[in-house]
Amino acid sequence: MKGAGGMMDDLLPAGDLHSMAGKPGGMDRASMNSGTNSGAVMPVAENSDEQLMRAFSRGSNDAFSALFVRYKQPLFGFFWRRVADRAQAEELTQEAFVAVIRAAPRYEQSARFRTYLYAIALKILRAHRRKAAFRATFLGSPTEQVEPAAESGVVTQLFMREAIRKLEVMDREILLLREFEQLSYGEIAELLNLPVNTVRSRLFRARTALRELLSENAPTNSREMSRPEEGI
Amino acid sequence: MNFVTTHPFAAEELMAFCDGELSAQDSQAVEIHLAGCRDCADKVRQFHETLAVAPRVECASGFKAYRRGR
Repeated sequence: MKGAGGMMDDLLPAGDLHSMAGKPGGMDRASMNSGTNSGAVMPVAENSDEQLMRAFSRGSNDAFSALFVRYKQPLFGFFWRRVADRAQAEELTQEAFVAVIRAAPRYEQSARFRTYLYAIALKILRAHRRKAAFRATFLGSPTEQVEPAAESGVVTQLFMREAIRKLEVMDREILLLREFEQLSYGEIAELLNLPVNTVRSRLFRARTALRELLSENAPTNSREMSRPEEGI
Repeated sequence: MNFVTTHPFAAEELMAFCDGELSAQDSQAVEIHLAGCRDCADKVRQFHETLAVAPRVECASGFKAYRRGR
């Protein structure tokens, strides 16, 4: 099976960036940094996400490449934990980056880029689930599992997957955004359009429930819980 | 005699403390309280244990590079 890293390297290869972006490729790193007061040219890697996105919206493909490198695995992970299989996660990841490219000319910074990106990802995920539900209802295809995906059937990941699946939908989403995407309470609140206090109380509830579920179903062999090479 | 009958921090606040979501001032207040309250210290330890489970499991499935980069 192709590893996540190998797969993501195939996504949106650099040669396609210009054509997909539909932007002039003439902006160099100096012009990308023209918004800085110092006038010094910073390496792309040192720019903030927001600086990179602004630069991309002005036509810098280097900036998009840097954002892509930063977020390809986090975004793939975001989808992979929420859809049934890796191939779907790959498609959705690509779709999300295409959406970023298409929206770039209209980009206005109103939040952190990370929040902006995950908001796009959530929209794509919801659309994907609607389509899957439609297919299941009217075309009779199997309903997609929406719980975090598992790659193999080891005990630890099954316990974790089952425990997370049992959480209420919104609690589970908040838990995943916090534990895996590592968003702050404020970012989650913004993303899900909830008050910060609601995020905090739901996160508390989700973690408490998760802890209880895991303790109820903990493997008898404690070493099973700490296997280093097994994933959810 | 039980000297500590009330806890100034709700469990949710202790969780927010573990997540680094409290202000510096509030975090300091929690730390001072934890030094003298075994119940709350136990709660914090439990939170840390719960927080440690999910990332450890997830980390093993090919996202190590991602997490290292954060």
